[in-house]
Amino acid sequence: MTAELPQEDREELWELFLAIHGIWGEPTNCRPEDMSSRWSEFIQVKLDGTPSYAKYYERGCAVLRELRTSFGEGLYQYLLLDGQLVRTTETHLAELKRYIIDEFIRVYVSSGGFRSFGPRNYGGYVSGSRFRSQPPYRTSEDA
Amino acid sequence: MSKATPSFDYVIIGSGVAAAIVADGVFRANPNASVAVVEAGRHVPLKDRRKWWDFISTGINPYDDYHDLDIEEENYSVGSESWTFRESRLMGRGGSTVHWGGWSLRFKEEDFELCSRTGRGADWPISYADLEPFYDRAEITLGVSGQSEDSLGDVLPPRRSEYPLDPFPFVEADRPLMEAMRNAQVGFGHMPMARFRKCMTTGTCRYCPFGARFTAAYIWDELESNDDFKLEFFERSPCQRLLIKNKQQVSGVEVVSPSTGATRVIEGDKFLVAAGSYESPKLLQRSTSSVWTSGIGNDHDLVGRFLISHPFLHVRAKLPSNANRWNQELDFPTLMSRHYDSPEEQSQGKLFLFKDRSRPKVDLAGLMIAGKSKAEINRLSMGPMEFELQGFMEEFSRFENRISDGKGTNRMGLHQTQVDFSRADDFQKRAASRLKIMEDIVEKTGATIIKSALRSQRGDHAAATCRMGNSPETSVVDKDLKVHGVDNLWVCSNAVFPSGAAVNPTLTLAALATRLSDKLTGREVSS
Repeated sequence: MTAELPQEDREELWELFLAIHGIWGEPTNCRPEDMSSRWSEFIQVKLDGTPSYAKYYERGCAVLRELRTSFGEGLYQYLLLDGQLVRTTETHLAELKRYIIDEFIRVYVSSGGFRSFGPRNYGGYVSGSRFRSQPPYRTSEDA
Repeated sequence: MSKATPSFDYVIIGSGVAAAIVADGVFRANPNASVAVVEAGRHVPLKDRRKWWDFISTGINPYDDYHDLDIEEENYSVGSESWTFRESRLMGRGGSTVHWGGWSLRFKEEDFELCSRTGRGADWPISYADLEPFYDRAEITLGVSGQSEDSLGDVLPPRRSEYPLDPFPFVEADRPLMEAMRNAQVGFGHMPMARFRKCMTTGTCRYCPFGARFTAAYIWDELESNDDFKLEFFERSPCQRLLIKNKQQVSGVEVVSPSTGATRVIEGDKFLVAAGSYESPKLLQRSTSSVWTSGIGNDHDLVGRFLISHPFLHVRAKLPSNANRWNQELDFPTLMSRHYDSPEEQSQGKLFLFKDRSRPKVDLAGLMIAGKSKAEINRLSMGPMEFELQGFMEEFSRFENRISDGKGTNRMGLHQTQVDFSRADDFQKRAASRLKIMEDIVEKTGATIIKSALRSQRGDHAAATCRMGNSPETSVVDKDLKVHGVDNLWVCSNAVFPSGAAVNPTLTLAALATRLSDKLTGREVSS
């Protein structure tokens, strides 16, 4: 069964994904546009499979909108860099951190975000063919 | 009215790589054959995008539930050396090749003559030359990549064929150890890896979204997809015992439903026990009768004995900085050395060396999740760099080391395992000499050694518990893997290895299974 995410929620979540790139990404090494199809597949399998993330995403988007009224432009600094969410005991905030932010970060890094920090390959990255002439990782010949 | 007892040409207990290769060979030789596969575990979800994304985004391993629990909760270790099962085998369709690393190395010529050469352990009743054609075929089945020559130009063991696939180039972070080995005239080479048809990347090996790492489950998928084949898969069917017609003939297997406790019998003409080094001997031991009072093939109390695995050694070191931001970019090692896996080292325990697949590692996502800034992560990426040289040491079998049924059953309905394992008096001294070899190599990198140790014994490469040989007084199965004294019962698992050499066992098991399928079907050996 295919579950649907309201368009405004999808946009809210994609904006969060872009914010991850904005804080840690190196624009010359990776582009979020190149990751959008992977991110979309990730969202869809999380909605469709068991357990479904539909409620996490719905509640998470509501929390994001509420926080935006408090933090304004500082929202993503608060969510991603201040390190306060790690200790939060507020249920919906903790849920946002665990099921959305942390997972998005891992999806971002494994989808190409790792390139901002030097590697050519990383756990979870999928690209190209085994039989191409250029190995998809840094080899001893590259050093 | 009870259901008729099903009967098959072949009944195979277990569904790992040995079982799959034999079944495949049977159907290739005779498409009209009927085969029953009796598997205690379940179907493992593979090539499942949700499972894969869960693995990537949460770290949850899709096959955690198919492993043994911790030794404190399941199974028993009663010897002087504690034994751990942690992730050492996978109980499900496809067996341990569902979770294995894919390292595919041949044993060397001298490994088949251990006792003759050293006075320790046992000889194999077959030679490397006998097995070589089957190694060739097994490498094709598994899709092994590699390079025949090592850095010194040696090709050991000798081989008539090239690897089916080109090797994976060494990763950048292999350089310190490569240079150290080169300076020390220590030969090194590419780790032979089993891949399967279409590897699209090299970053998702532990759970491949495409099925590009070989697992026996894919052989079963292909066999089951052929509607003409009479293949019946009995999942969640732990085998309780083998039933006999008379001392020389097995007539059936008794399996039990873990959920209802109901038992059923599956009959057949030929029986193959391919249930690994733990379950295979336990099943033979349990199969007692008036003519086999200690279990089938166990008149000489050898079934379950001679247990070995690979002692795991590691030397960790630290370099002061990591200017190139090296990060282990693959989930498997590319650098290995068989230099000390040599005849000269055999009496002390051969040593197989490889670079740790998980270091140097900067957990980029973990640092971001912890709220570290880009500048902080870059600083950490260029900071002190740890790497590790690891090694398997050859273990010599001892009569005292034995496995048998423990109390109760595990959550799959398999009898729990009792491991009675201890080591010879000279083991620690020999292990220390192996660690010294490793330390000498690591020191040549200029790094500071921060740890050098023998890890607690794991059961991943357990072997020799139904060893093969020429005589029932010294072995459980003959050179064709048939149980001594029984006409229609074979064992094919690491259990039949008389010795374990220093390298991973799966390719050798696949070669033995290929050879056995030829024997069972009367197929001529191809050169």
